[in-house]
Amino acid sequence: MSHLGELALAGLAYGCVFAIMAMGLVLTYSTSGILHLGFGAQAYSSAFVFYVLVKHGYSKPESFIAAVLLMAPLIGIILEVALFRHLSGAPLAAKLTASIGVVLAVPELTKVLDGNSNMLGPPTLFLKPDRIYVRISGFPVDGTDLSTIIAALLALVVVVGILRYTLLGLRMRSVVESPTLAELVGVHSSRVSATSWALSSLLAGLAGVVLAPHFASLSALNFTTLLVAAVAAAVAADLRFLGLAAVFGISIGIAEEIFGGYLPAGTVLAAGIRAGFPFLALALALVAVPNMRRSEGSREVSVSTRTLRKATGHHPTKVGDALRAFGALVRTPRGTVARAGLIALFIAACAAWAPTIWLTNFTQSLAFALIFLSITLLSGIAGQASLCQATFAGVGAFAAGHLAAASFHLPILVGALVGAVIAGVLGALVSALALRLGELGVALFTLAFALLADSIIFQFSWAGNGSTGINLPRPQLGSINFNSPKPFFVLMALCVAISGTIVRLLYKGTTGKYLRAIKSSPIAASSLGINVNLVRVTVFSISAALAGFGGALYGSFQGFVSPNDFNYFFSLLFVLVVVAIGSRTVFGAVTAGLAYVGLEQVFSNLPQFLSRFSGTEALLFAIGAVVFVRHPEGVVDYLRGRILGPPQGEPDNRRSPELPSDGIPTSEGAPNVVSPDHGLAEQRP
Amino acid sequence: MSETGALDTSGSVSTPDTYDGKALLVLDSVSKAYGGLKVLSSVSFTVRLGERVGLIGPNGAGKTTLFNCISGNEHPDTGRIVFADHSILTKSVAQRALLGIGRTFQHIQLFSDLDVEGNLLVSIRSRKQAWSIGRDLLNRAKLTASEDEMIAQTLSILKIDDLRHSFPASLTLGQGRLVEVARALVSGPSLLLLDEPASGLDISESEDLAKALTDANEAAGVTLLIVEHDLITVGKIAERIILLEEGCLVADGPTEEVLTIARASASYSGKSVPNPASANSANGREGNSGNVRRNPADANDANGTSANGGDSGGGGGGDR
Repeated sequence: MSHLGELALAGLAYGCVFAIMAMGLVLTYSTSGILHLGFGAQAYSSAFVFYVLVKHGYSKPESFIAAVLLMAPLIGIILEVALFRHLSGAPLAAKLTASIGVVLAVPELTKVLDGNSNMLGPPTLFLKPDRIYVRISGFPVDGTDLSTIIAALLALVVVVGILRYTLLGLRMRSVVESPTLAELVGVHSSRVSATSWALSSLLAGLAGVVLAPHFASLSALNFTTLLVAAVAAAVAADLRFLGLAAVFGISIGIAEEIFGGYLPAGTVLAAGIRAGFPFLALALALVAVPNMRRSEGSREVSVSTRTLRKATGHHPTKVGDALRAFGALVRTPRGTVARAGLIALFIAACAAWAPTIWLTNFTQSLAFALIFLSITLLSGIAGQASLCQATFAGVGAFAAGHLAAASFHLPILVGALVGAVIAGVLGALVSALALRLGELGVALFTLAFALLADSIIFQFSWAGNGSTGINLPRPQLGSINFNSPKPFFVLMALCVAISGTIVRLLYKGTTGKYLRAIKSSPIAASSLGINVNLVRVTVFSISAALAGFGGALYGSFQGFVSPNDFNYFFSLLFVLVVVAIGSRTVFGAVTAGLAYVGLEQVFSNLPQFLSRFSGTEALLFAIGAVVFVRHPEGVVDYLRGRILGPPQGEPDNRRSPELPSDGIPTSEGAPNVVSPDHGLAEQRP
Repeated sequence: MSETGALDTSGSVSTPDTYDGKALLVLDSVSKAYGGLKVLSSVSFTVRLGERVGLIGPNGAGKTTLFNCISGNEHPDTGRIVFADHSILTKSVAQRALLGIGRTFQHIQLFSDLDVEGNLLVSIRSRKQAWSIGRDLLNRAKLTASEDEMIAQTLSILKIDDLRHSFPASLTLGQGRLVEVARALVSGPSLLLLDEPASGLDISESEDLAKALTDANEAAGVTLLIVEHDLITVGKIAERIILLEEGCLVADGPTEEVLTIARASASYSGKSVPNPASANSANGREGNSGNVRRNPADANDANGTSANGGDSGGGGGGDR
């Protein structure tokens, strides 16, 4: 057998796992309109439970029944009933955030259950891992590969069989075509949707259990590759065709091995190709499949408007009225000056009297606040999704580190600014490439970019320098040495103030108005002459630059950064933190920075009896992100809205007439609901 | 066709070359198909400066597709579209807007995070191409006196001054439609495309809208092209009507006469098509009026005779 054939056969097993997962993704997307990124985490949870049960002496069939046949569908049903069912008409941001919440919450939960132990040598499903069962053209196929291939083929047969030859399958297909029409002929579409979630989650669980033994130890990170490859296959199949998704999944697995096999051994590229290939495949699939555009601007507003209205609901109490009067006062120009003065006073007081540990935490919070401001601008104000803001922060930090090193010897602050510019240019490039993909496509593309940077780009010595990382000095301005915490804290506060002012001015200016216009209706904005693409690319670029600047200052504060500080996990986590706390205001970003570092401190210093929960603060933000679905303005703005009333120049949704649940405008009001066809289609009676 | 509403009695479809220099919008043999479904079949007409033209037809006639082809939201498969002496087929939606084509939408598309003033300000600034990040960062993007005046004037024409600081969520559907018209008008377009502006409005709101649009046309000199299902409203606004059926131009002429043809059309049969008050004079006249430019194949169709197989330039129902 040729080398090519050997590699293809080796990739077949991986491809089968990708295929199983891709089928699950297509199934749920078809029936509920949600591309559930949390399937990777669910796959991990099943693999984890299977591992733990086998380790505790249960037989493999028993463990399989518990982990895959019972637990996995149960999780799917719970997620569907408790969360995703309520998101069918929600904006993409809400769906995505809920999915990301699951991505981060599940591994954190397993940490709580298992206490962070290393899980070496995950067991195979039903064959002995090292035994050679068959030889195809002389190439040995061991138990791990064979059990994976058999499981995938069985799953494919069962799923296709269910869909094609059972009443349930017929109902599922009818719901895919039209949930409303299916309801009219007596199909309980929500029940069918729950079933499809159970079936998809079962497939994810199966994928997790068969993938686990391909790695030396069980780690949630390995399942990200699985997810991305599966998403690539599902997207390539237009998120519609199950069989095609399976074929693409297998193809990606095979192609990954072939590419890896032909690249020169020992290079960063060869090492990273196994991890990086699915991301390239995803980027390619996104660009190649034109239908990814269809989510653009669709199903806007209805849920968020309703939830916003609830959020800012008027509560006529004396205390409430007094607080609202206070809110009106602090929003006057004098009030703004007074607020700025108070903040300056607080910063001065901290610098003067706060103990070093507090200053360190505050400084770190402000560094994160700078990065979070980039999310405020991009997601909160512009309504664009990016799942690679930590990557841009990394670009800024690494660029600043290289520029400050001996070869360039630039001052670190200049390096940070140049790093911001480089991140901005990269952001413009990513945005320009992703423009035509629609909301969901942009989110996936940025995630693919983040994962590609983690696995390949940041591993090069000229970038993140792999695990060796990069050292960054503290700034030195004349006689002021920023090595001590106080000056650095003041510098950081100044940088946050300047960046916050920039974001605020952009929001108040024409840019902010254009962004809000585009967020509401890109089609109407362009009909007025706005170059929507140019505005989007520009804002994405500014946001990336802000993240890059924040990353550089964070690196300078820490003194050392490596790709692990900016991996995709942080990109997802940062989005969750900001949307949970408040993504629409500068105040929200700063509060998010404080909350992030504060909770990290709390969770790393837990008492002995709670040590199991150590380092699981992401779980809280994941829960917070689920709350975002109901309160998209975030905790801070929600409370501010309740207490102080809506800010000036922002819609007072308390006056809004109630929207019908389907978002269709009535003659009584709420005319601004954007229809899925942007109002371009001819109205049918 | 030598002047607004004037007639081509030749019975053939005029080519755009016969129009004089006052033509603002010229459509020449515009065709569009979705897969095998032909939505527009070689549609040609001209809209002249200052005209109020209605575009009517039953569901599926291709009105909105034609509209989208003019505004740039869709691209015709063949044909030519000229606006203000510019061939606009290769231009984007935004570029067409900057040339002076404004539009409203069948489903209202107001910017929900901006109040009415903000909605109009976006329109003014985008037309002036006044977006500058530098100005924003220097806090010089505040409302100027001239912008303030433009907004006040436009709101005043449409009699919605009191809505200036309202947010879209608090507007009624009728108010929302007026605000959308105001947003399109405030940037001073030469041509305003209105997609079913009376859709969802009650009789009184429709009347107010018709009056406001007529006033806007007279006060600001803006040319109107209106797609409308409601023949009463379109009869009140338009001085000339183009009738589309199954993607083909069936008739083009003075409002009353084309409405008469529309009422007689097989596609409208079974529906009660009320007479607009202004159309009384047309009562009793059917068929190919001497004042109406008609596509020969479709004229038969409109008279209830068979038009099978009409696949020539003028198209016909037989295309599908």
